[in-house]
Amino acid sequence: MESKNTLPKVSIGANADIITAKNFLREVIGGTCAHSNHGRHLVLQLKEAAQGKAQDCQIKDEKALRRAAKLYGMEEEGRSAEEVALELSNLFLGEFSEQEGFLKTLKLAPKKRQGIWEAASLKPNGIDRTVVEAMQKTTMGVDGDYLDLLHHALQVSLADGWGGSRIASICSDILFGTPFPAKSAIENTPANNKQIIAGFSVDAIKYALGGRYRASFRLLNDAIISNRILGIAGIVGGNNTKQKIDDYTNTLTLELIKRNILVLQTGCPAIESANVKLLKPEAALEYAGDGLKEVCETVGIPPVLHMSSAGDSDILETAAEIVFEGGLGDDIASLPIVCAVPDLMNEETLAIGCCHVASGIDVVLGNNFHVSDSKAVGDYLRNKVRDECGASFHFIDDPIKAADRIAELINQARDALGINKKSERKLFDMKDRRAL
Amino acid sequence: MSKLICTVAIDGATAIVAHAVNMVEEAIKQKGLDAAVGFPNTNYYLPVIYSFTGKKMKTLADLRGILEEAKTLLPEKPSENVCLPYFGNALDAGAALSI
Repeated sequence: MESKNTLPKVSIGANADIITAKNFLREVIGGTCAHSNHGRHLVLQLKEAAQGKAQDCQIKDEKALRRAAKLYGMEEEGRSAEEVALELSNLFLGEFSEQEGFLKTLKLAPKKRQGIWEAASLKPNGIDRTVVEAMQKTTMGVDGDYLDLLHHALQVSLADGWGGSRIASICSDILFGTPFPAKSAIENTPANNKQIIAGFSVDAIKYALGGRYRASFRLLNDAIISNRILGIAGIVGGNNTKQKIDDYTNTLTLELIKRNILVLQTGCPAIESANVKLLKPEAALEYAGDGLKEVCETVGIPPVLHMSSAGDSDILETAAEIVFEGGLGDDIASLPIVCAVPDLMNEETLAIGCCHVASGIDVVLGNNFHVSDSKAVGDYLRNKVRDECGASFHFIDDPIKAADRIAELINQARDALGINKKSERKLFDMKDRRAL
Repeated sequence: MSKLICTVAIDGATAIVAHAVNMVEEAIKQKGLDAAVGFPNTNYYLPVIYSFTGKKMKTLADLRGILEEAKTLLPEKPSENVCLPYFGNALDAGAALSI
């Protein structure tokens, strides 16, 4: 299975494929540790808050706490917030230390996706154990199979996105409040102060689409099914360091919304888009395609939604919620959702990118991996991983071509779902309603 | 267009909730807090309030309480520029109005 390469064999028979895969795995481990240890600190803070030991940190969002407890099947009715928070924080600590069982947080993914992880043996144990296990495999003389090493990269990334990152998001909502859209200002210079709308958490999007009584993704799913919105693109991570500052992200974002693709941004790209006013609802009318414009205007949202920091797992959570809402298939891989990573500038972005692919979301990269020494490793990440996870990586350094590729991938998903036709708005009379 | 409709809906709901508050306060003045409300000789509670909130309205005091809850559903009007999402808010205003 190993590719033919011209590089010399190095110690204990490890060839370029193995060394490259080990280096790749180490990068994913690094990113996972960054996100997950952040999550661990938040869990410990939550535990201290629950025990009344935290001086300047309390449970700010009790609803988020009780919602989280229910997600994990915990009994919360009739119990104090502190009791629930203590049990939840202990459960989360178990997510780090679990040796034999699998991550409980994986169960927040659609059932079919869990089955795919199970079949491919990608389900991680506790985060700490998974990281140590993988780290051991990168050491000299251990694991001479580049495919096994790459599988471990996917497994570790799942411990990040569906483990540490997700847990960090949940704890952060409980301790600091679930983000809701607010005006905020970005000051480049004192004279250049730009107002934007930011803070579209998953809950905030649900509320914006349905109010308090019908908060859900229904309206978004329907807008995708009726082809007003072609699909969704998540943009994760920072600037493209090999191109003029902001160019890749801003061009890509503009090209996507022109093609009626709703853009969800986490972390640094949101600062770049704010520079071209894309986080203001009014910008939708100017730049977005007709269908997307119609939806944005109806709801009062920008065509580019700033969700959270790059370390959060909001795009994965959004994808899962869209599956649960129904009408767009039963797995994340069937959704018309693609993720773009303008630059693999740090290990965190690589880890979260891997987690998206392992979860069934195609990832378009603006800068290439550091795997050029091994054809086999590159081929697995760009092609073969698709057979196991239903998604893969695509390297495209031209942002307009990247937008084209994203639209193409979204259209393939739409074709498979059988929703790639423009449906006209139909007003239902009583006869139609009876037929429903 | 949508923004205009949502703004008008929020305005209308705010006015009607205020009107309902005045009516209930007037009724309390005349009949007292414990005066019964409902449909005599039936098992029904005020149905729209019951369906939205699951709360059973038995007295004028209950109605005063539920109107306080309705007020929490009344949102700010969308601003001219850089406005926050208004659709969910307008739906809430509609719920407040129905209550």
